[in-house]
Amino acid sequence: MIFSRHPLEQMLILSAIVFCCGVYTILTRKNAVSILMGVELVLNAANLNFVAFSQYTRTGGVHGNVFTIFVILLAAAEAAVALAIIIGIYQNFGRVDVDEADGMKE
Amino acid sequence: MGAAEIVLNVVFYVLAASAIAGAVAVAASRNIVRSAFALLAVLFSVAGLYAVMKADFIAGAQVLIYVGGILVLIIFAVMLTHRITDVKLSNDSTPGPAAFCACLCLLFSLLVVVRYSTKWRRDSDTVTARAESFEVSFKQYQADGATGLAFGGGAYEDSVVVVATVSQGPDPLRILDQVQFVATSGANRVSRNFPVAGRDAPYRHVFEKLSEGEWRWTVRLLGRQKDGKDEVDREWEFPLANTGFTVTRGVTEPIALALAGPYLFAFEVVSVLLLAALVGAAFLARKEVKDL
Repeated sequence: MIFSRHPLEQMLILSAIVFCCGVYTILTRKNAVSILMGVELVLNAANLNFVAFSQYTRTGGVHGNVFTIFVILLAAAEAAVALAIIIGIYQNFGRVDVDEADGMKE
Repeated sequence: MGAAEIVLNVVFYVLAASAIAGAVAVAASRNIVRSAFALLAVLFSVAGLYAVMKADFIAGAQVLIYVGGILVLIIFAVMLTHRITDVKLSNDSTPGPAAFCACLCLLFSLLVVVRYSTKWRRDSDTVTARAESFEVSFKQYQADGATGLAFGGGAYEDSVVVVATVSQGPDPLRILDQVQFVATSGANRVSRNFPVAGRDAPYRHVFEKLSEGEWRWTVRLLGRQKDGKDEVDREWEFPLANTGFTVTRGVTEPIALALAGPYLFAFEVVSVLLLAALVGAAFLARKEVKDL
């Protein structure tokens, strides 16, 4: 039975599903923006695990929450830089397919 | 199972369903704008799940930064790199039965590991995840000076830790000779007197759940630090019987204390990194000036 009454397990199962959706998105998309969305899904799944372990275990303390904050901040920085790179690729190549943007210069 | 727990379970399953549906839509949708809005659903659901887990500050940060910042950036990227008038907003995916199979295998192995190969503590089903909490306040005896009380600590599955530091005026020992700490939770209230330890000597209160309705209140008077370790000066123990403490303590204050304490350096490094990302993104996205 995959359903569990244990709240920690429920969260871990949920985050495993979200993580796999993210990995699938990263693996199959050609569009750079879609790949970025897949990365965000993976990061959210990791954050869910951090918070679940922090809140549902006694030894976890508050450290999982702090790490989640750091991950969210790094995701913000990553999204900003990724957007700038995507705009750059679009200006140079006219589209944002990662398969085609394989040269350093047009 | 009480009514509150049932409601919490229902909320959890609704949020989990919408998170999974959103994630599947992000992975499967042909239309990139639909993918972006499915991601919005996922991010909101995850914020709700943080709230279910009683991580209130993280839930707020998720909505503010992820939904308010990152998602808007992603939608900007979508709008800037596609002509919206195009009929086909390209979101081609490589035909990926191999990737699909790989992800299914990954998911299956993750589920097996989570559900069957790891022995999470099963006995905590009755305790579930309710973070029981106490509030400790104090009363001063013979007080007329400037007196303050600082609190830290955290709430865990079946224990609550509160560190209370009494800081007094210029001459602490003359103003106070006893402090009274009062543990309150809901309608329950227990008070004890403790000798004053001097300026800024922290009292560490630990509330441990022994069984249903039975708690133990341990107070340790921490002396000066030696080699980075707290020295325990004195220790008191009190049973708290027939108390149904159920008030919840948030995580915001412990997070603030952790960020200002052990994680201060990491916090500053992240600030510098954000600044660097800001400058780098502005540099990358600027308009090329050809003839310089």
